[in-house]
Amino acid sequence: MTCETSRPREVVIVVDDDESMRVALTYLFRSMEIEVMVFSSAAEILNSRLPDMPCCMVLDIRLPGVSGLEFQDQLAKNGVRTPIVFMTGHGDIPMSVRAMKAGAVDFLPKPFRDQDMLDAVMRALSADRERREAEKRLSGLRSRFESLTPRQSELFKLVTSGLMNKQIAGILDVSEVTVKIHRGIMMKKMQAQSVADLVRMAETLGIKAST
Amino acid sequence: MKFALLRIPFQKLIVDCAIAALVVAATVAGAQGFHQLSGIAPSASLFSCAVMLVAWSRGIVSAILATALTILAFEFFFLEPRYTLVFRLNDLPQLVFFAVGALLVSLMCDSERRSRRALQEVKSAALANEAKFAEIQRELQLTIDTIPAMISTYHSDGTHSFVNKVWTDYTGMELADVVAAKGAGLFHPDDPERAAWRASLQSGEPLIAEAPIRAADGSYQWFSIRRTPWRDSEGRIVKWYSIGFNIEDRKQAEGALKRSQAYLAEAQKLSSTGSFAWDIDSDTHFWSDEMYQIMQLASSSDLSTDLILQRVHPEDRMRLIGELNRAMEGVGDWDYEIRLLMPDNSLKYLHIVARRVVYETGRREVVGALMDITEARKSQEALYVAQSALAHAARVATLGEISVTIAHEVNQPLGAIVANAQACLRFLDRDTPDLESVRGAVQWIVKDGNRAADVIRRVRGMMKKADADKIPIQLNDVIEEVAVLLQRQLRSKLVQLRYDLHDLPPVLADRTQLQQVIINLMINSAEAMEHVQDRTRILVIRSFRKETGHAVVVVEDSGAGIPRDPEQLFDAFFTTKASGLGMGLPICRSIVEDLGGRLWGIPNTDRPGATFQFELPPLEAVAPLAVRET
Repeated sequence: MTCETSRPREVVIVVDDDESMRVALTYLFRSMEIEVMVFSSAAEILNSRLPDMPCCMVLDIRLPGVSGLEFQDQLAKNGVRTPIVFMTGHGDIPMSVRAMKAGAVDFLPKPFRDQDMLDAVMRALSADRERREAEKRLSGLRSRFESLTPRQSELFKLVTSGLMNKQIAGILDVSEVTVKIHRGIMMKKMQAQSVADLVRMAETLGIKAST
Repeated sequence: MKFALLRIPFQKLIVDCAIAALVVAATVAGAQGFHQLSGIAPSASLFSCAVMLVAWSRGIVSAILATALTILAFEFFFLEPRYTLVFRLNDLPQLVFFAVGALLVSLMCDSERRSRRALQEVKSAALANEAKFAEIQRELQLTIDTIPAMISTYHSDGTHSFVNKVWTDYTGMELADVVAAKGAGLFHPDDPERAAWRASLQSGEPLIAEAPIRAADGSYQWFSIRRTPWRDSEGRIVKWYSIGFNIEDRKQAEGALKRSQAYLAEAQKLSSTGSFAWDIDSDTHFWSDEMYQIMQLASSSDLSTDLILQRVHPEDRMRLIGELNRAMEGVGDWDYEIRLLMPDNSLKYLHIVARRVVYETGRREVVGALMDITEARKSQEALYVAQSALAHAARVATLGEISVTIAHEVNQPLGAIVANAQACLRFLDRDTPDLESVRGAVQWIVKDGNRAADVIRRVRGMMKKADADKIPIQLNDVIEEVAVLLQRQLRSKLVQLRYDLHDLPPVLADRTQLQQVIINLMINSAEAMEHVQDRTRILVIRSFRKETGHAVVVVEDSGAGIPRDPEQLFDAFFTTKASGLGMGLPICRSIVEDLGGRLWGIPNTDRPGATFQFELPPLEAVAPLAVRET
């Protein structure tokens, strides 16, 4: 986290088998002051580590070896949720439709207007940024939940299922005072202000209330 | 012979005379003896008896002779003067009396003798007749027994009164058996003959029937039976005569014939084949059932050549008349196809195979079979249509592929150029224009522009197709090959193909490409004549050698013609056909020009139609060139 960067760094990943196209896209994104990484094939990108920052991909729908659509599937299977903007040649409408259904951000027929490309990429990057933030929140929550002792996580489930301290004491066969103490520690660990906060967290984590 | 005829009565006469003399002599001797012993003079009646005996036994002639001899002997032996033939007048009455008496007795005896003889003749004739009758009866019996038919007679009540040997041999029963059985067991129990016979017995009508009769071994065979009544003078039926002929063989032959006829009819039906015969001189036609079916005529139709001609497609009528004339002139064999136009305006294709037959009587006949090949022809045509559609689709697909390639290959550099140019604009629009980046991007623009041009050049080369196998070729051979290929198609379009081929120098070319050119020109010509109805559709293919040594091929038609300016025909995608691509002629021209030749077309000036021709340089003119190229 250096101080110079006023905004989080972002990168556009370009995959095209045609060198001219890769060069042209590099120039275009540079003229838009967007960082670019270029790859010539799907295999190349699967073998390399993606930068840990908001990014999006600009793919030719016809790639050598694996087609753009297959690549999209592979990325989804690998858990990579980077938004994709497709570039299409002539008459690839059915493929484009499939791509959109599979979650592509946009598709642009070649040759495209620079503004259209800029809009699409910006939309994709902001989507990725949001996604990354959401993921980050979730992973913090998850690590907090995992720092709970077994007794505390049991208490978490009982509390979020809406039970009173008295009932919980009955179930756990301890005194009500003990429940209160443990509950305070647990809520502090989870950084929850109220029971409502705790319930939202349970929902985000996908934890079901137990009885 | 005359002597022989005469001799018999003459001999008889001698014998008669001798016997008469002998009898008279014996009588005289007897009388003489008796006279000497007793002295009693012999009586005239004694001699009357002798004469009578002679007359009775030998007839009137002997009796007259005996009478004369007796008078002489009597005069000589017993009248005075005795032992002389001296005649005394007073003896005359006695002698005359004797003579008259003897004559009368002789006449009577002779008549008696004659009647006796006649009676005897009648008797012997009767005997002979009887023998003859017996002979005839034997013969009749034999005949009745040997006639290969069952013969029997019946009493008026229907019981058997006689059966012949064939009858007993066949049935294994004797007359007595069948009478005892009252005729039962002879006919099949289900046979309607029994009822018919009972009806005949009642009505007296003769019976004519066919029925199976039981044989001795228990099997049944078919008989043709006829029974006729015999009536007495009052019209009452006395007897029935019955005759039965074994018709088992005929019945079986009839069955076999019926079966084979049924088989034949079925086979003809299944194979849509009809058979026919045409008697040339009497102009009579004989048709099988299936023939009528194929021609869609009622089997009761009065067949005539005119009727048949009416069924034939108008365009084929002259042809059939020609074939019929050929038959009359004596041509022997036929194998041709003809079309029928049915009343519902549908077309039928027939394949006719026939042969001329001349019989010993001099009768001339055309015998043949005719097959309805409409279905086969339709599927053939469907196949042909499918094939041409497929060829067309393949051409379109190739074109489509080429356009996809063009689009993809050209789009790629175009896309890059546009992106680079837009980047340039952005670099230039900055507060401090980034000229370095602009330079880099523009350099790529130039590169990609050249690349796009390259692609276009490559695609054009691809469409032109790389040089195929160029070998020395005789154009006339290619023309003939192609004509064979197109034969069916031309025939179906009713186009007559004429050749006018002359010696050509060999040319250096690819065989398939040349075929393609000639096929294209010929099909264009044939299609141009498709709607021509008022004149013959003639396609002439001509070849000759020009003074320059070039080989020239000319395709001439009598079709709709071409525009005044034929050059537009050679523009790509120009077409006058509904389903054409407009690529044929341009491709042909590029092939011919690639071979160093020329291809052009002109409308016919003096008649309808158009003429397309191409010329190719002779082998010797291009061969050194070809060598240099390689």
